[in-house]
Amino acid sequence: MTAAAPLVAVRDLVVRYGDRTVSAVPALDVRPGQCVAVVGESGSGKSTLLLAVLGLLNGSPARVSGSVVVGGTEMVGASERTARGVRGSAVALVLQSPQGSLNPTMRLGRLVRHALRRHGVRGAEAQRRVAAALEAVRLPADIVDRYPHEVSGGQAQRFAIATAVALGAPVIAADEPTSALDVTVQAEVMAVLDGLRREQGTAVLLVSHDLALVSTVADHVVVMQDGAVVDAGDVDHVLHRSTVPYTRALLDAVPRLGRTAPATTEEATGA
Amino acid sequence: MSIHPSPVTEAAPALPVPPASRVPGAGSLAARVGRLVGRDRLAAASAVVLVVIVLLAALAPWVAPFPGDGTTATHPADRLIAPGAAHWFGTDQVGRDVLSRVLYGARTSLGIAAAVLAISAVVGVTLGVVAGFAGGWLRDVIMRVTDVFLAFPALLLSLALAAILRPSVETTIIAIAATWWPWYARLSASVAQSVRTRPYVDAARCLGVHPAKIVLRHVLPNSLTPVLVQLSLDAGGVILTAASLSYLGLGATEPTSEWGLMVQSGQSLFTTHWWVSAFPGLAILVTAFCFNMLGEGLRDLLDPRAAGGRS
Amino acid sequence: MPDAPIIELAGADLAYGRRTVVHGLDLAVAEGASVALIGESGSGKSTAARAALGLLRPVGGEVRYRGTALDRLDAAGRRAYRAAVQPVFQDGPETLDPRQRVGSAVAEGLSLPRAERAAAVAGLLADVGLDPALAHRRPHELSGGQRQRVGIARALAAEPRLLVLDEPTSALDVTVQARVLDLLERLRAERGLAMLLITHNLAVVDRLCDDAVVLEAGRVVERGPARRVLEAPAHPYTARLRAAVPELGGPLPGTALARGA
Repeated sequence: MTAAAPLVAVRDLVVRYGDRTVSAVPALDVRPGQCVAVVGESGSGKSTLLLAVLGLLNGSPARVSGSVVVGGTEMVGASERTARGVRGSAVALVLQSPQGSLNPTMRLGRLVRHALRRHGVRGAEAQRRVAAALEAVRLPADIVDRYPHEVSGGQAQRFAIATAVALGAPVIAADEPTSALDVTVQAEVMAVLDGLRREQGTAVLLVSHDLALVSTVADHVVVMQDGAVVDAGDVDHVLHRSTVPYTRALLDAVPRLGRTAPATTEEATGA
Repeated sequence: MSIHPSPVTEAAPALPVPPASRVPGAGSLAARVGRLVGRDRLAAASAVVLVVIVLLAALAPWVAPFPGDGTTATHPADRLIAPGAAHWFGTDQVGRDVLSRVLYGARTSLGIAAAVLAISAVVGVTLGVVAGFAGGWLRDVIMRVTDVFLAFPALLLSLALAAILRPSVETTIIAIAATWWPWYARLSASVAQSVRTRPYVDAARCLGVHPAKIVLRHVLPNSLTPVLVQLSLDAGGVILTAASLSYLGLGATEPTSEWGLMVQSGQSLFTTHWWVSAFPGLAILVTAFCFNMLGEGLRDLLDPRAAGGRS
Repeated sequence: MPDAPIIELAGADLAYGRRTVVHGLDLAVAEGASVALIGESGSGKSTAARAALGLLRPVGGEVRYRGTALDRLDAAGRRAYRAAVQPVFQDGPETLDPRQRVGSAVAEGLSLPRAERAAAVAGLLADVGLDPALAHRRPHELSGGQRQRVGIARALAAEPRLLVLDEPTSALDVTVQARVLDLLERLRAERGLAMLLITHNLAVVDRLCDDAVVLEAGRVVERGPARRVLEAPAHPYTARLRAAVPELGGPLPGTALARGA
């Protein structure tokens, strides 16, 4: 972690629906080569944070205040045009459902070339970038001829990452990228993300409910509960030295191999 | 990854959703109606217009300025009066008040639509749900019968029926219902088939619940939403079809007030006495349009997942 | 037969249409036993569960209830089987009938006169740690954890001897998972229930199961005591599964890709 300027800087972000605060993040930075993980359960507001970073809340019923600067551009209140310019060039998105975000009628190669064209990259340069990206995610070059339904979930996810790499985005924002995948495939996808970080300095903003997974890749962890940030710090601190009760509860609840004692005894009203 | 394809976990909604509606279609009915009215003013307006039309139709004998004209009365002395203070919609070639006939025509058209849809829905949904749930050869047989009926255009079948039976409102109902029920059979068969694979149906099977009870308790109620939407969308179509049949002389006959019949009877006078055809024609247009808008709105309300791009 | 396992798949071949997804599966769950069926997507584990629940007929081999093949059971035997073997599905929008109230869903497995049903439902809800007042609610008004408990109550209403659990906690938040697992452990201890747990989550296996069977592409690649299978896997696929599970604070899960292969 260098002292380089942050690629993503969140300050005093508050997202509200009516009078309910759905997500409140006082400060969050993502620097080059860093992996920042935002961890929480449902309703924690972690996905909303990601949407704010991508400017996807503009135009929705949500009210957003504060500042989210991505690649030098303020995303809060930005026009859709501005946001679209930022998405893909300054930050690329990888979603939970790989095939859901891919147009089923287009071959993968065409999909990635479309994305590149929207950011002004064409022809030979586009070819070169796609080839390099596929190699970075360890996918075979001929995958460009396949349709989304012809590839597995893991391959589709790696392809989404390859698109991000081809676009040259310095930050990859991933929302539960592996939750829908088998555990062995999950390991492959996470290895790809980590490899990109080490070899190309790509930063990763990872949103996940899986604390164990996050602990194996993240440098910095932010814990959210019910819309608020309850804990933050480098991964070592959060895992071993945090005194925040919710963090400890999350850690205790992680099902671990080789442990059989029940996690809690309370279940009076169920959960 | 499980017996049933697993849904996206609650942990990662793709788009921010106001808390009350985290689950599609959730929230009290009143709340959902409230949101819908806000979002889809056209459907809400259509619903209001339809309520007015239905009320006017129901109260026609009391609301119509010349109720007798709606049925058998004629006043040759007052023929073809242009729209004015005494007759808002003018009079037709035998002196009947067009407004009153349009109001009575609403009773006829709505009555036909109700009867046709009731028959189609009952027959179609019963056969469809049985086919969808039972599967196998029973489904094949029912679907083939459905296909045969689907091959008949409504007009052709009505022509045939009119040749055998006297043209009348009853003939219209039978003829249209005979060609309409297959759509409901097909629709409910496909819905029932998908409901059949759901975990709660499996759970009921594992509990030893009798198949008939499963159909009545689980499959039918969960198959009805698309049927209800379709009913509203179809009402406009049935009215148009009935009007077409009457226009062709195959449906309602004089002196019944029926919009299609009224359009037909006034069409030769259209260039000089436009009001005789125009007002019933407008009535058909407005009613059919409103039913369509209401149907689309209902679809968004009852099954937002099927709304496809409107929200 | 008194000593026969509650459910046994003997050389079962299971198919969807013409596609055979499980080949020659041998699997038995005895009274009080807890067996895990481990595998990833496409392994056929869910198909095997459907067969055990009598929802899918094998195209080869047999599925037996207490020693008798399912299709040879008489009416009384079928009733006994249906009561004895109950499912608990993964939480989702269709696990409970969205139009049915919770109390009604739980009562579906009861064969009691109306007057006694409400009390029985209240008892079952309390057994799974839920407030009996929830009986009047609809599924969408409940949280994921509460819905799962209702699903368990629905199964318990039939007084089963074996629960077939298909990814019972995978769709739940991690803190909620822990509590549902507690519940399952307690029920097992109190009622001597047998369990057939279908999952890809090795940590849950470790917590709840005595024995484990690992499926890959429709075939058993390894079986044995759960602890041994997890700690000292004999088959490379099991080892790969084990290595891929991220450990809290541990290194990046091992994969061929990570090693640059």
